Amino acid sequence: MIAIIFLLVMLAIALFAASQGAAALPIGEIMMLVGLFLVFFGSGVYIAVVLGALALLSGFVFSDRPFWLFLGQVIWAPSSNFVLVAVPLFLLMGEILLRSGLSEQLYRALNVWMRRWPGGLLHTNIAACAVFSAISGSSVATAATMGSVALPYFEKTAYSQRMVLGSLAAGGALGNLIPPGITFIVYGLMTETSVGKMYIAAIVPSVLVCLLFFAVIFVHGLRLPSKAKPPPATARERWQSLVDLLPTSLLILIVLGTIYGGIATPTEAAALGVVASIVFALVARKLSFKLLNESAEATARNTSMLGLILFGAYMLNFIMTQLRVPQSLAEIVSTLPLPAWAIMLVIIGFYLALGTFMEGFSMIITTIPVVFPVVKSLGYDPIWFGVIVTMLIEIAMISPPDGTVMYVLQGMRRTPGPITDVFSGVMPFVGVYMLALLILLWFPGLALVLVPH
Amino acid sequence: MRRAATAVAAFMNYVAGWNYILCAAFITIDVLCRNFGGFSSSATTEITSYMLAFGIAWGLAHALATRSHIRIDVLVNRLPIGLRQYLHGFALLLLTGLSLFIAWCAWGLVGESILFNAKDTSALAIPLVIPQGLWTIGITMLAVFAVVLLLEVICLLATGNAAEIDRLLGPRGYQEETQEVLEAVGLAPARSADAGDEQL
Repeated sequence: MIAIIFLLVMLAIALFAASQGAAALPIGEIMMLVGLFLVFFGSGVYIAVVLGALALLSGFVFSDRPFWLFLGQVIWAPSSNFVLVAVPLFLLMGEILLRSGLSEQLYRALNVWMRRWPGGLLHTNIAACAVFSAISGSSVATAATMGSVALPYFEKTAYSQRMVLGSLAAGGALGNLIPPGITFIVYGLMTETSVGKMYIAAIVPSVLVCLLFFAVIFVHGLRLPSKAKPPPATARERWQSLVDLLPTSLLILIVLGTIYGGIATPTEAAALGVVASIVFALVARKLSFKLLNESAEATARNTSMLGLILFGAYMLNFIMTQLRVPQSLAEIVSTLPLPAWAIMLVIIGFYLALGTFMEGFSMIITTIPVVFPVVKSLGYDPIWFGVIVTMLIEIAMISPPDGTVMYVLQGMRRTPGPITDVFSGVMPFVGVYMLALLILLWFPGLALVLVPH
Repeated sequence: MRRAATAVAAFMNYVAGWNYILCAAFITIDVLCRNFGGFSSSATTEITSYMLAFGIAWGLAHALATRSHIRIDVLVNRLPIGLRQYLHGFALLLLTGLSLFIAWCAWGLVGESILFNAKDTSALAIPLVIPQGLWTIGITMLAVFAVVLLLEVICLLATGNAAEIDRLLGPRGYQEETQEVLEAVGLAPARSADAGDEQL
């Protein structure tokens, strides 16, 4: 629905631009390509194939060079890129942690410290998700792991089911924003932006979003004070909780510490993380051949899924660059009689609309080659835009009615109820996430303040 | 025939997955050696990049077999199955075409590397034919699997077995994704339920 409205708005803008005399634009051809794109997407063709087919079509129609001779090299390049090695490694780490039961300790320990705040256990949901995000780069893995641990705690309590599910879904949406996230790696690969710098830039926005989430729960907790406060934690409990937090803290130190300390590149940090999580699984007596084998299978499958889309995108990108499409598009947009922030708002609207029916990674890979040159020509910082795009993807992930995170949580519920519980529970969090996005638009410096130049 | 191809694809996917585990171990050793031992294999970047290429390519066919390659399914899933089967077939036909084309491109690249005896710039001067060859084998497997699957789907279309086509090609829904994640954390529920009781 949002997507349709948005397409209409876009069409209006395009017509407006055309009437303003942007005559250099080959409207006919572009419309034809966009039309083909829509038909392919609508008929459910594989995304990678849509991109590849478009590349070949536009290549044969518009280019007079034997471009097909170079395509082998074009798809070999992303396949054998050291930066991209981090993706399967972070996925692998997430898969191992998902199966190793580390999250349970984490949840119990944080609970000791937070259960007496207004909103109680709900804060623990966000905090645990946030901490887990700092070792895992995947939102679905974060929500699933924390959900499986947290939901039993809420059984037979007076907490609002909606808030419980909503806060867990929202916590899941921190997975990619809080470093190390996989979205940043893919974005960095496609735009040749430093992944390490983006991880630094993501710190302040991550804290901002977490604080806003806590605020939502705080307000909810004040409005509905729980009858009985849990007893204050004893000193022994507190010590025990600190011990329980140790493995997670160590993992964070190993993965993020090495990146921020300049000891390791993100790829190397990911490798260290995999080995460390195997060691922790071993210590927790969860390590088995089955665990590793299942993790390996899921990792390989998901990486290949991403890989095929990358193949298609690189082919299309290669042809497009040959035809100078992104460059001319960037020139046209920069001559539009609109201020830069208005175009940025249009781009953000575009991503939000796309996010309602498209999975995050495919969304970036498909759109960034075209959108990025435009953003750059408008004078925006590539690192800042990387953070914005990641936030947009996270918002899309928890925006009803589509979103794996929410369905995973719905599948985990012990007390049956309609999926709309999750939807209405997550809405306040989506709201403040958007607010954080707007704040970053207004004050781009928040993201860039820590980044060394 | 499809069963055999599926088994081969699954096996190749496991190889790809374990390859990533090895990759992590390899990089870790290199980082540790560099920081504490003062030496490095000096070709880690190259070798692990090749391992990535290998992993991506060898997992491709299995991803198709498990219907993991992403499609935009908003519309397709709402159509009646009679129409849907043709769209599945169409999508697969295009995928087969593209994978054959990519495989052809990849073989071309391998041919060039052989022709010019290309080596990388790392200290080991690895001949590019080795990683590119392995990579090409994986992509070729995708093409082979797509062709086999396409033949089967054509037969099914001829015999009018739409349900089977949907089972073979229908995109993974949320239920399946959820099921998979639940199975993965399935180790936890018994223990965490106990923890919950203690809490109460």
